[in-house]
Amino acid sequence: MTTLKVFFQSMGSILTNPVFLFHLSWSTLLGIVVGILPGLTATLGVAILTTLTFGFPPDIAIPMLLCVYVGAIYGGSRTAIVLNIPGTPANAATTVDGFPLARSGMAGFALNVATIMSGIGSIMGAIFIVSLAPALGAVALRFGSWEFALLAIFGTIIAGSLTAPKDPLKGWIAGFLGLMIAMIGLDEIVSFPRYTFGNIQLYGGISLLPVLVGVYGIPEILTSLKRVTKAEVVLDFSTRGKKLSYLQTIKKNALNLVRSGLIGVFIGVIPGVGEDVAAWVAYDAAKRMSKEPEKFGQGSIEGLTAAETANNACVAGAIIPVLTLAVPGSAPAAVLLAAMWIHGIKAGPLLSIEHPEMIGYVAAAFTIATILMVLFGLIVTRLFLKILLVPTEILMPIIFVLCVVGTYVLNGRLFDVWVMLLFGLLGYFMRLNDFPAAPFVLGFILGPMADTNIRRALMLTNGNVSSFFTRPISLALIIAITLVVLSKYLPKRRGGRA
Amino acid sequence: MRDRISALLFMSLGIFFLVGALRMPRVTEYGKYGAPGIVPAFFSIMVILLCFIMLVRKHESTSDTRSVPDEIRRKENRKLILASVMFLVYVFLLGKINFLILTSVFLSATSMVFLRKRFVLIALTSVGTTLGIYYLFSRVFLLPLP
Repeated sequence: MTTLKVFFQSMGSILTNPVFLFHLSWSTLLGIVVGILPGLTATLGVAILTTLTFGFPPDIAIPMLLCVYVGAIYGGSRTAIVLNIPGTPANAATTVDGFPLARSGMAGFALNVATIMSGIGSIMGAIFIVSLAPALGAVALRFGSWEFALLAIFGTIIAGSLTAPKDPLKGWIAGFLGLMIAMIGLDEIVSFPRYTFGNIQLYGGISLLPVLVGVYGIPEILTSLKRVTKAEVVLDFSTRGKKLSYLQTIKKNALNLVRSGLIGVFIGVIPGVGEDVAAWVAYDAAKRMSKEPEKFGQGSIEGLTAAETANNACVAGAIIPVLTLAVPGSAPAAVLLAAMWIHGIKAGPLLSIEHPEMIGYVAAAFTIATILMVLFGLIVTRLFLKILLVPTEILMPIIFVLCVVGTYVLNGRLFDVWVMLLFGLLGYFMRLNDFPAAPFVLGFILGPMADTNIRRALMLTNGNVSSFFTRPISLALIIAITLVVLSKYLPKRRGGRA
Repeated sequence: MRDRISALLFMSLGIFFLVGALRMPRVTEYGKYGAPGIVPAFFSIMVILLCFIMLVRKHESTSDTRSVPDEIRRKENRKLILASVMFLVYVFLLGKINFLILTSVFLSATSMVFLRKRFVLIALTSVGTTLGIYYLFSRVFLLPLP
């Protein structure tokens, strides 16, 4: 009830503050632009804006980051529909029906349907933030050191499994590498300098932002710049074809909307899965339940609805575990979590004690981001699609400069820029060899939590690890970890024998 | 082959961290379980173990992303090296040359090298972008620039 009250109060305070509205508006537009540009992901968008919002107080910076996140996931649908190129991985499912719709002369209709459905999906997600997050937060308050330690490992492992479905081993390696590298710097219990080699810059550990920007930004820039063959961009907004009512479309797809929204939210809650998986699962479910499954892939409004509703609902779902458990549901949510830490908001089980208003505030900001997204989506995104005409060769160096400057302003030292470049190199190597970046970043974020809690748990029990198995939540997490690991290999072995 | 190289590289990193963890104090004022090396040792052992599995397994699961012709691959590698060198030089010169001049030159040079046309437009865009970044960070957000 309190969360709901904070939600409405926050809505009022943000909507009546022109400065807030201005910042949220340009952040949403920035998010849409990032989404529109193929190659730039929501993760990178949130990372870049984090660097721009240092000077902002958290009550404005966090909503701005949410706006970029929501805007980017939505913005990707523009190129998916018009050019058959998903702006972000989350919009891959949108291309299946969006592009055929555009080719049949219904580009304008498809763009607007995607906007409306994304908006509805986001609003459904916001409802879940208000209703589900406080309940999950209450459960999380029962966590002790044992549970926190296992939660960090569980989050990393599940992120590894889900972001590297072809080879989960690579995902787990990336996750444990992140956990291992997070150990650099003074430890939090006895302040012993670990892996610092006497370098004073390393005593405080490696800052999160250079790692984030490096791992996500640099590989993207290098990959785009080295590409020899590039697709030619031709924008076509033909409006011929039959006129359909948007209201009728919503009514006809009501069940599909609710189902896809729920799928999106719940997939979002699972750590590390993300919007792309949500969109595909919802698309698949819609096809199975449809009375006209043969239209899927040929320009089905149902398919477009399912994909766009689910990916935006997933954004809210991914934020729920960020707020309550400090475990991100997706890669952009991992960056959002990092940004919250940078802004002094320690998301996690203690959030409801340290910042009791935060969940309601985030839900309100999320709703406003959605409203802005729909408004801009219906009014100006066709204009913004023109940004696709800017050559990559001009855009990528600018993004590189933004990465460098953003990393530098974190602490005002060039050391962080070199760290960013180093992690950029690592990120590029990882990308080249199919190691996912999300579990690496997640491991890096959760490393200190794992370190402190593993040792604290061992100290409390004087080295007796049986407590990990006798506490119900802890045992459930151990079973979950075991199942996640086994589920990836047992079917393969059976398949191999057959 | 590429999987094995990655496994060996990350395993070496794991061994490096494990050796470091083993050289840390074993007992602290909180007893032996508060020792700073326990968790890094655990994580590095996990990395070594997982990399070992990757190294000895039979199948190579890496998708074949390198099915591009040799000529294109060579061109890509050339562009990659060129971009990396330009980025390194830019970062190396940061703080040594005025930010506005360095960034304008860097943006113009990078875009011209890779695009090879619209020189005047690129130069104007670069100067405009640099001024925009400078104004945004140092005047609007009041943040220090190198």
